[in-house]
Amino acid sequence: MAARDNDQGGMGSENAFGRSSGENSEGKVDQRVQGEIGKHLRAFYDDVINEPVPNRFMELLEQLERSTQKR
Amino acid sequence: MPVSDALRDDLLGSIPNLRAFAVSLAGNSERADDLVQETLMKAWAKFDSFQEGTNLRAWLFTILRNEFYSQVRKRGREVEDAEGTYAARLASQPAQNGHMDLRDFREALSQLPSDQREALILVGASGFSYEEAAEICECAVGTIKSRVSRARSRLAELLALEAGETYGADALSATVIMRSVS
Repeated sequence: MAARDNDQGGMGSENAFGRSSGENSEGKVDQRVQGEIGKHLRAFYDDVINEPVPNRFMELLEQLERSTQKR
Repeated sequence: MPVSDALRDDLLGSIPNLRAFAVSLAGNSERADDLVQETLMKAWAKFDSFQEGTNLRAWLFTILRNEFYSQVRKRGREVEDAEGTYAARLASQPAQNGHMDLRDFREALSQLPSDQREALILVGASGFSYEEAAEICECAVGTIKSRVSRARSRLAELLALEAGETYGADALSATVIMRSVS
């Protein structure tokens, strides 16, 4: 499928994704696709963020604090 | 040098973000947590070189990233393997919110070259500006911008391939629809 000459952000495209029309003529991904990617990216990232901090890190910080005080 | 309570609390508060960044670099959470541990120890040891009031998070991210790449260099040959199995590892992480589309996304993300992936994560998920990301990655702002842009194009491509052409109106959502139907 040939790229359209004037891609208005993928609106009204029958294939709004991929090389042919998900990108505009400068090879950049259009706003809507960017939004979708951003949403997924944050979901992936927030999955880890929302995990409780493992105990090993609390213990490590306590240990570091003790070692600093001793000096 | 004694570390102030405020700085200690900020350090503690940065751990979830450091872990998330580490997972996206290392691909598995065990190695990610080792990276975070190393980062916290290094940060603590050189807190006197940190200027309080400047961006602690960017400073910590820089330490973590340097640690990651120095480990990669040390491991030498192992790296190739690490890169090769990265996709499998990242993809095998359970999708914790249970959404199938997130797993597809992880898989696509794992296929990006690491320099593009880290740029995209820093700007798109960690919330750093292009300037901060450039500082963390020790490269030009323009380089970060082009890496992010290439990462987005590649992801769009990978996810579009997954979805096929039938649901062109919104390929990402279409992936979800197709998966939940089949």
